[in-house]
Formats: sequence, structure tokens, C-alpha cells
Amino acid sequence: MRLGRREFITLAGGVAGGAALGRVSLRGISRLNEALEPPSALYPGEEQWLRSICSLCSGGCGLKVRTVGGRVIKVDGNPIYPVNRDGICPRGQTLTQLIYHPDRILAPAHRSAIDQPWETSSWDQTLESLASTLRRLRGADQQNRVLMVSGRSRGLTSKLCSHFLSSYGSNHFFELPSGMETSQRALEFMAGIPNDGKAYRMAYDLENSRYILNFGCDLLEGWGTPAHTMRLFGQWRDIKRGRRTTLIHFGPRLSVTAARSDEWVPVEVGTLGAMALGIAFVLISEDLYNRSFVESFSFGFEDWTDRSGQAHMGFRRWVREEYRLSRVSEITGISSETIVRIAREFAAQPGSIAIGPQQSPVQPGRLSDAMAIQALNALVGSIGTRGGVSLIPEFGWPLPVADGNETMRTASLDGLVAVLDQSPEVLILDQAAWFIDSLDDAHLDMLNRIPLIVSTSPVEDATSKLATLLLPDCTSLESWTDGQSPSAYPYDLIALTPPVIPPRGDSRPWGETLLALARMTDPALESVYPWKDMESLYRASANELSRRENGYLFGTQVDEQWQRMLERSGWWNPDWTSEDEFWDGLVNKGGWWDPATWVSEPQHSFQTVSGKFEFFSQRLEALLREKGGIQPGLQPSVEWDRQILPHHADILPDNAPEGFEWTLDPYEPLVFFGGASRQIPFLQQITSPYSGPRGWRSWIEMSAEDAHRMGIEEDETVWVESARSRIQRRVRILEGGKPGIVGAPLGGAPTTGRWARVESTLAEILVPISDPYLGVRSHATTRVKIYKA
Amino acid sequence: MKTNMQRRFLFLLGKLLLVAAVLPLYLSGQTTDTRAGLIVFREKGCASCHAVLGEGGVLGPDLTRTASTGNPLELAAAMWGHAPQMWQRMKLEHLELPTFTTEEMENMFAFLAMIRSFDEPGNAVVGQQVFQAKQCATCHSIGGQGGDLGPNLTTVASLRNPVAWVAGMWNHGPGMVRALRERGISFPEFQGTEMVDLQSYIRLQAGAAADEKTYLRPPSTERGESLFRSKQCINCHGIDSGGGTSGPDMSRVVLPRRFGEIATVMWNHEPQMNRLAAAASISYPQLEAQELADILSFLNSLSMRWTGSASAGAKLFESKGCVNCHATTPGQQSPAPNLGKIEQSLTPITVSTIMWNHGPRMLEQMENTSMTWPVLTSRELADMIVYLESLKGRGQRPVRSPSSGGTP
Repeated sequence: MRLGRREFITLAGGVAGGAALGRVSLRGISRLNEALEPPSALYPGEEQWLRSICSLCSGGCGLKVRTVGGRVIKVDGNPIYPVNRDGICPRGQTLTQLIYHPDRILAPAHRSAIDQPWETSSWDQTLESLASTLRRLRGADQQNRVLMVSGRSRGLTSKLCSHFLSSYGSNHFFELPSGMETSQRALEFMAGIPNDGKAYRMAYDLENSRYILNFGCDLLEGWGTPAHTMRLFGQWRDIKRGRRTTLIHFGPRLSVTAARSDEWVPVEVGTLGAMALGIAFVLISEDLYNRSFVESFSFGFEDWTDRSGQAHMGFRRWVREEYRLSRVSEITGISSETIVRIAREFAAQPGSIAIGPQQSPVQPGRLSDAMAIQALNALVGSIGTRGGVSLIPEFGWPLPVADGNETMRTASLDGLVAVLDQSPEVLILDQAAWFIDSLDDAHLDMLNRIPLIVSTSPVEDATSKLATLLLPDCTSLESWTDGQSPSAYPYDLIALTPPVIPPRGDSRPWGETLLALARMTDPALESVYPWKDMESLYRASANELSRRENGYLFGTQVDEQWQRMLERSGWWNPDWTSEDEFWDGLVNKGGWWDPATWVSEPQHSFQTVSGKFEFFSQRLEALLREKGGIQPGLQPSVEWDRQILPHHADILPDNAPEGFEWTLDPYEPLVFFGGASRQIPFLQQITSPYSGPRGWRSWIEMSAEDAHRMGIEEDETVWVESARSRIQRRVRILEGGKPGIVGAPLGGAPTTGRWARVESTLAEILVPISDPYLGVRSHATTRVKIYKA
Repeated sequence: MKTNMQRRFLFLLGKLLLVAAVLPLYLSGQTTDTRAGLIVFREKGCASCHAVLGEGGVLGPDLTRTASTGNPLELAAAMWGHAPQMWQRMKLEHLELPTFTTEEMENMFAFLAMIRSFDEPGNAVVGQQVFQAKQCATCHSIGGQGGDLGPNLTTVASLRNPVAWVAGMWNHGPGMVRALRERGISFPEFQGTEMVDLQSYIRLQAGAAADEKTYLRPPSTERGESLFRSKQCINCHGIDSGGGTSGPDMSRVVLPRRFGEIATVMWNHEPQMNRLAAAASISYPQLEAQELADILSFLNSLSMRWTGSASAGAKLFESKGCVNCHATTPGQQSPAPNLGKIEQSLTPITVSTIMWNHGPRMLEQMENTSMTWPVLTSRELADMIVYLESLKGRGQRPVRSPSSGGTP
């Protein structure tokens, strides 16, 4: 079935007409899918089920792909892929729509300016035009005028990007933030990491957690790996396990996670740290904390004196004096009884864990809040233990080069914006639509001044709209695709799958494009990157991995338990005996992992100044002394110890300006997080059914109480105005939402392509708030007023 | 009723079996599949109630943390004794009662025997106490503190298997003993899981150095038996009365069930063994970690054997009231099946299978006649099995059941 745009609109409009806002007609979606199928609806030929890996978010779930006659028909979860084990989120299922998207970019192209038409050209010609610019800048010693922004935070292609930039001489490589950065820094300050030059990552053993205090993380939306988290939700409620994991969600917004939790505690905006310290108050006052851990393996819990004889306040006294229940209740808006009850439940059993704050790429949260949350984990002894949190060595695909130097990755949006201010000449946007979503008009103007913007997007999107050179990547199903432990995942894992179908048109895997670009830019790099294609590179990398003497090729859940029991007891029964066997096994089974990565013994040794878990981080103190205190002007002067100890500080001024009575809380819905999915009709449709000629539109969420008071109806259009600007949005009314809170999704309607809709971005009105310690954006929570359009 | 001739035969048979001592059960290890045993354990729903090494349900005990060895007889006796409780609880929890084939039961027993020989991660807090009490820091350093006479323990922090740890100590045993003597420090002996706890403490102290992991490959009972001879262990230690006599006969020694604990027992006797070996002009055996694991696997397999007495079984058959329901003479009628007609070879595994599959009906009939479920010790079960086998005129034949050899 093939439809033109007019027919499609009619069809999709019919879908919306038959469904209330927020609900979807399955029949309508089915018809919508048919509209997006490739030209022939009949696919003669052999049916195959092949494995691949999803590239639509950094989680990288394993896929089982049905093809008929060489066409991709259906995508499901791979049952032996440990991260998602059969499960798959709605994004993964839309890969077919991405492959056969009518706005696919199927050949390299260039144009003289963004308002000029595209001209297709050969790969050699297009690459040479970029390579010649790179050579010129290098000749002028201006390599730092080249920057790359990538949505790939893991995998061999990502390593290739950073190594290529390093070889070339540019220091500017920005990657999609995971949202865990602030929480990880907090844990690094308090628990430390070895100074061994290795990268470490923060991970949770949520599978074995029994009681979870979730401080604002959208677990079921843009957090970690959606399919993995959804699987965990199922396990937490699986009666066969003989116990139920309790999930308590703290946060002002009635999110999907809040609604699906055992209890939603609607704290005031910006009070997550205070809530954590209120719980700490109860644990300490009622003597419910883990004495064994705190007394033997922590530092700074009691008052102490440093080498110079200076007395310092201990965490115990700090919390007892500053975070009494009445004060915490006043700050958070939650009753003392609720705080006491939750604290007692939290301390009642092993496997309790506190996660957060937020951990969203757009709102990673504040360091002081994150430290308060990690202090809770220490109080119940959940650092580096079963069901707890830990910092584990980052393990991934090795790049088999003699010189392993890579350009340092930066995940700071503010840092990236600062570089844009330095007149870059070449900007390479690789899976970077998320980046454009985060920019307001002023930033976009800065981008428009860059002479050469390269997009690797396989489909028309926000990056191709800005670009003058297209080097189209293909989808993960059309190329060798790798996987790696996603953020927060507790096990070491690497995965690899061959192409399910050949690349469509003249698109090419970005990794192979980079190899070619490196050779064209500098022939000397040919010896550094001797591989003719990505398969050869993966093979060389896999050969290095085959020398490991731990872990197993992917298998069933029985294999998983079997292998974990073997390794935990000191035995290892390898699946391979040679490089060839490892390669064959890797490709056939889809990957390797170590199900015994997670510590089986509680962590009692810490890489901190004291060698213990530090409630008073001496590393943070040293850092602040170096800086002369926290950044001037961002925080009022306070006593020295109060800067170091976990604490609460307001993020918004107490008194809202006249009329700005709502607090807008931006979030990343499942379908749009990472920014890459705006073009996919199915994903647009499940969030925002097509509204006829008005197209797909973005929205805000208001409580029913506020909407009723304002006389605002469902789907009515309103102005949302902040101190910076105002935008229009339609309204979704949430029964049970917290009054005074307005939720607003990032992402939204496509900005380019056949279904593009001109719409102001949310970034236009957001007023970012910086973390006073880290100097990076921590929140985008903004005071707004709302009125009918 | 038994004839006098039958009674005399049973008496003689019982004597014979007692003299014959032990009968090998888990030695062949060719046909059972311990991984398949895990599948059975999960698919039959056992894992819903029972955990192994901490993974699984919590309604019943963790089957790797109960006191008995992995000997199939003990497992069968425990299963027999607790079956009515299990059925009752499963009924309460609305759990489906599974049935087992003999092969499934055999694989599951092999799995449980194997998993019970696994060491669990140690307790670093206890390990620290051991480290201090044994004065390890006098000679060894860890985390930048301690003596430098012996190797820095950070260098062995990657070892994940206690057997590898003991092998390292064993190979340096004579030197350690000399050094300790010179410093007036007594030879460190370890109890229970202390060695594993110590290893856990060393790993934690070593920090990132312990991130690297060195494992041993699953040991081979056959290789272990061969090494037991080639390393001249047999010259001092007998097996089934064959071999040397200066050390204990390893087929008669009751060893702990976990590999690390067996290795600890071996380490505790190091000075004595060294002395005796020197006296007998036997060179001190250097053992690769894998070789030691193989030898321990062989020794572990010896504890999987069992024997019984037909005459004692005959008495039990009466005293436990079995005779009230089951006939044993061919052609005789009885309310419950005639056990003399069972064609299947009886072993702890086949008995467990029959008991589990038919037990609920048996229990119901017993409850209807106000009889109590007979509880049997492992010894009693062995006697009963040998007795029932003897009814088929096959009682003198060793009762064998292929299994894993008790090794991973």
C-alpha cells in the first residue's frame, strides 16, 4: 500500500477522529503502519529471524528481526540478550518505520547554503570536500575549530570518533549525557574511585533491590534502558520470587513512574535533597542505620578534628540539628508521619537503595542533593552490595590501536555552547538531534554561523536541516552493530550483530565513513586505521577480547544463573578456546557478558582520602579550597562545613514574580528521549494523536484542579510564559496531578520532513539553573504563567 | 512372612555389605548433566520455594546452606522426610505438584551435589579478624602495610577460587614453615570458611587490583584420581584400603563438602605431611592450582558413595510399619504395591523419584488409616534400599548411579 501525503493525512486524521486525545486506535495504527511500509505489500521470498541491536537510544536492546524476501517485517526483543531478554519498548518496534521512512537520506549530498537545494554527489567527492577543509585547518594549526557532537555514548564507532579527533588534533568531542553524571560525581566524591586511569561508571543492582527510594528518576521513560527497567518492574512484582520490591517515588510531577509506583510522594520542586536528609534524620534518631557499616567503614559521621586541629561537624549532628522533621516537612510539603513511615520501611530490610536525583540528561540534578541520597545508601549499608549501588570499571569494545589516546568526551551542554562561541568552522552532528532540541533561538543562530555543518542522520531531521553536507549513516539493521553495558546496568557486556539487510540506497555505516575520512584527511592515518571496513575492525577488537578469562557468550536465563554460580564460586567454564571460536560464538549468539560482574561482597574499602565512605568528602573540600569556595554569586556564603556536607538549598526563589504561579517541570518522554525519534509516525502517534491539519503537536500537563480553576479545557491551546519568552502549547489535564506543577515534554512534532510542523521549542522559555559546585546545568525547572491563547 | 532360609541369607548379605564398606555411586560421572539439573530445578518449580547459593525462593531452606553433604543418600532421606510438609505447603500456596522422571531426578541430584561443593563468597569482616589473629601482616603486606618477607598479597588478590589460593600457599609451605619457626610464630591453621573469609578480606584491601579475576576451570575427577597417584599421594594415603598407610585412608575420612574447606583441611596438615613425606623420601609435591582442584574433586567424589545393610533394612521394613501395607513376596496381595515386584534398580535417586511421584497418594491412604509418615535417616534409607534390592536377588551387586562425581 502506498499513500501520498494527502491520503496519509486523511488516514491519520481518521485515526485521531476515532480516538480521544491520549488514546490510540490500534486499527488506526495498523493502517498507519501500512502506509509506511515499503512499496510492495507482498514479499515473496524466504522468511528469516535474525538478530540485531537497537540504536534508537543508548540502551541498545537486543532485537529479533523477522525478514521476508530480504525486507524487514517485524522487530521484537531478543530472548537471550541479557539486558532486555525478550522485552522491547515501543521505540525499538519502530525501527521498521525508520528503515523505510519516506524521508530517508539515501545518498551523500551537499548544498551551498541551508536555503539552497541539495545536490547528491559521490562518496569520494563529498568526503574529499570535508577532508580538504580538515587538512586546511590542520595546516593552519586550527584543529580545534572542528567539533563533533555525537549521540553515541558507547560502542566501537564512538571510540573511533574520539580517537579520530585525537589523531586529528581536536579537543572537542561532545556526547549525549546519560543523566547519571551528577550522581556519579557525588558517589565518586564520597566513595572514591581508584586513580588507575580507567573509566568508571555508576551502576545499580536493581534486580536484587527490595526497597527503592526513587528521588525523581523517570524510570519508565528517559532513564537507563527502558526495556530493562520495564523488565525490572515486572520482576519486582513477580510473586514467584517470593517477595515484592517496593518502589517509592518522590517528585512533584505525576509521571508514568510516579503513577506506577507503590507510592507517589509529591514533594515540592527542588526538595529531593531535603527529603533524603529528613529520612536520614529518622534513621539516625531512631537508631535504624547500619551501625556496622557506619562505624567501621565511614568517615565524617561523628564530629571530627582535622590535622590542623580544626573541629568539624559530623553528619550525625548536622542532620539532627538542621533537618528536624518539622523543617523537612515544611520544605518538602510532606507530613512528618509519611517521612517516618518510609524511613522505617527503608531500614527494615537488606537490599534497600536510594536512587537519584532526577538523573535525566536535561536535568541531572544537583550535587548536594545527590550526596544526600548517597548518604542514605551509606546509612543502610547499600554501597557496593547486593541490591545496592557501586562504581564499576567501564568495560567496552577496545579500539585495537597502538596509541589509545582519545579526545576527552564531554557531556556538558554548557561546555558545548561555550565552544560554539569560539567560531568553529566545522561541526559534525552524528545522531545529534537531541542537541538541537536543547537549544533556543539564540543558540541556533550561533549554529547558523558555522560555515560547514555535517549531518550523518539517516533520515531528515533537525541536524540535516542545519547541515550543508550529508554523509548518511544507515540504520542499525543495515550494518554491523555493537552493544555495550548501558548506563546503570550492573554487568559487563559487549554485543555484536551482522547486518540484517544491506544498506539502503547509497547510505554507509558512519564508522566506515570515518575510516575513509581519516585516510583521506591524512594518508599517515592509514597505518593507524588499517581496517577496510567495520567487520575487520570488530574482528580485530574481538580478538583482543577473546583473551579474557571470564564471562560467557549470551545464553538463556538458566545459563545465566549457572554461569553466575560458577564464577562466584571461583570456577569458569569457557565457551571458546581460540580467537576464531570466540568470533564465531560472538556473532552467532550476539554477544559476551559476565553475569558475575556485580560485587558479591559488600564494599568495605574505598578509594577516598580516609579509605572509608566519606559523609564529609575530603576530595570535595580540597576542590573547593582550590576554587576558594563554591562559585561566587551562585550561592550565599555559608559556613565551610555546610558546603561540604550533604545539604538542601533552594533552586528557585521563594517569592514567585506576580502571576508566575506555576512551576514548569520539563521531562523526556520515552518516545522522544535522546531526540532521535521525532520523525517516526508511530511514536508521534502514541503520544499525540494526529490532529488533522494541525499535525502532531506538543503539549503541557496540568492538574485537573488547576485547569478547572482556570476554566481550561482538555486540548485547549494556552500561552506558557516564562521570564524569557512565551510559547503556545495545548493542554492535557491530569487527574490527580499536583496543583501548581506543569509538566512539559522535550521533543515533539517533527521539525523537518514531510510531516514537519513549525513549533516553538520548549528551550525558548526554560531558564536553566546551574549547579554551584560543578558549574553545569542541574535543572531546567522554570516559573511560568499560563493563560488562554 | 520370611522363611528361615531367607532370614539367614539376609543376615549373611548384611554382613557382607558391611565388610565391603562403601559402594561407589557418583564415580562414573558420564551421563548426568548438572546444568540440566538446574533446568529441572527451575522448571519443576523447586526454585520457587528453595534457593541455591542465595538465588531462588524463600519458603523452603536454601539447599546449599543446609548441614548435610551432597551425598545422594542424604538428599534422598531429607526429601523423603520433608515431603509431606512440602506437599502441604505447595497445596497452601496453590503450587502445582510436579512429577519427575528418573533422569530428571538424577540430573537434579547431580546439580545439588555439585552446587553444595561450591564455596560461597567469604566474609571480609571475619577475614580481617583471621588476618590479624594469624599474624599474616608479619610477613605479608596488603594495601601498603605489613611485612615484606613473603609476597605482597595484592599480587594474588585476583584469585577468585580458594583452591588456587591454597595451592599458592601449599607450594610455598616448606619455606613458610621455616620462616614462621625462625620468628617463633605458630603455623596458621584455619577452620571452616576462614580461608575463604581471609581471601575476601585480601580482595577488599587490594581495591582495584582485585578487579582482575582469575578462575579455575571445572575440575576433573578422573584427572584428580590420576594425579593422586602420579603426585605420590597414594604412597601415604590409601583408597579403599589400597595404597600407603602413613596417612589416613581418604575413602574413610569425612571431608567437608566445599572445595575450599577440603583445601583448608589439607593446608592444616601441611607440616605433618611434609615431615612424613620427607621421612619416606617422597619429594614434596608441587601442585598447580588446577591440579589441586582436580585432586580435591576426586576426594570429594569419594564422599558421594554409600552402603547399606539388607538385614538392617529388613528389620526397618517391619519396625517402620512398611510391612503393614506392602507385600514383598511374589504373588502376595497387599493394600499397597508389592515391593518385591519392582523391576527398576533401586538407588536413592530412583527411590526419591518413586516416593515423590506416588507419595501424595501414599500419604493420603496413610492418613485415612491414621498411620504416620515414616521418617528415615540416611543410614536407614540405605539399609532399606539394599534390603529391597536384595528381594530381587541382586543385593550383592554394587548399587551404582552415574553422576557428576560431585564436581562442577
